[in-house]
Amino acid sequence: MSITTSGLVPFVFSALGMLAGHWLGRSTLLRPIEASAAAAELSVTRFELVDGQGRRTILMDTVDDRPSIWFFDKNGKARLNLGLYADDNAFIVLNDDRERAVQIFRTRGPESAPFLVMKSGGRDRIVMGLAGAAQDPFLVHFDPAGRKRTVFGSDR
Amino acid sequence: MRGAGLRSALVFLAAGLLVGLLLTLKEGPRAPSGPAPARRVARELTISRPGSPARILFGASAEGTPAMWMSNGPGRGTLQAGVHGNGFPFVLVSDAAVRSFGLGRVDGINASPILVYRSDDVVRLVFGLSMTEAGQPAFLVHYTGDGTRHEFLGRYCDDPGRVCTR
Repeated sequence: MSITTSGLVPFVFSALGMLAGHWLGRSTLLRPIEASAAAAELSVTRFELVDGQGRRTILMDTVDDRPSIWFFDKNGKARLNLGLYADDNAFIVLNDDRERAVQIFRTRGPESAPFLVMKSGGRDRIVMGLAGAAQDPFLVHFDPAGRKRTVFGSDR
Repeated sequence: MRGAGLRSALVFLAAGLLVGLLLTLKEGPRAPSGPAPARRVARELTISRPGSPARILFGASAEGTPAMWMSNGPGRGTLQAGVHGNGFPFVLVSDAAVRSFGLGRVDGINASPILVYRSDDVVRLVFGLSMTEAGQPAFLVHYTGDGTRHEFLGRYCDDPGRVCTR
């Protein structure tokens, strides 16, 4: 009996030691810096970049399950926005200092037709892209009075 | 005899502890578990894969404004987007030297939308709403290889100074 007990000592204590070592290694006691600084993957629902004064400069968010990135000027106004619309079409929007869209690169409709829209005072002034069943190119613009001028093609 | 037994037990315990610790640390960092945190804040964010030169960087430009750079590595084309020091936003797709590019930007006192195509450091096409004329009429100008200017639509001020934006 004593021979059996003494023979178990190496196994039992080695196993206990390994379990303790495994627990220590898994715990954050020995590697808190590694876990936070070298994370291979970071998953968040919202991510903000701030400047030296702590002001928000870039915001990445998934509002309404749609990914979007905003860039802010020094007055905190969103001047650039890129992401996906609810219908999964992609967009890049450049804004003025009142956060009104001025230039929009986007895809539109089920065909994801490419579109470029330039705006002034909230109104479309230039629209260019591909449209119609054949996805033909078009370029239209609107004069200051709102009259439409077609350079080529049709936006219908 | 009891003292010798205790010593050997402690030796086995220490050896086991060391082996267990080494094996666990060799596994590397663990993926975060549990639900994603709702919000993170940082000064700079780099997205890359070990061994790959491809890189996305979110941070501050030399002007201290927010910007994003995306590239497959040094000497390759880039995509940049952000806000200039004067607050105007831009999107730029270019070669590594930024000699050839497509640039979408906003500029001038009327915050006019502009699209510029440049090839080998020479502007070949500019398209947008006037930065100088009342009512911001549309314009489209293009340049042939010898520099001849063609105003396809409207007028465009191409003075290299900022006079065209005021």
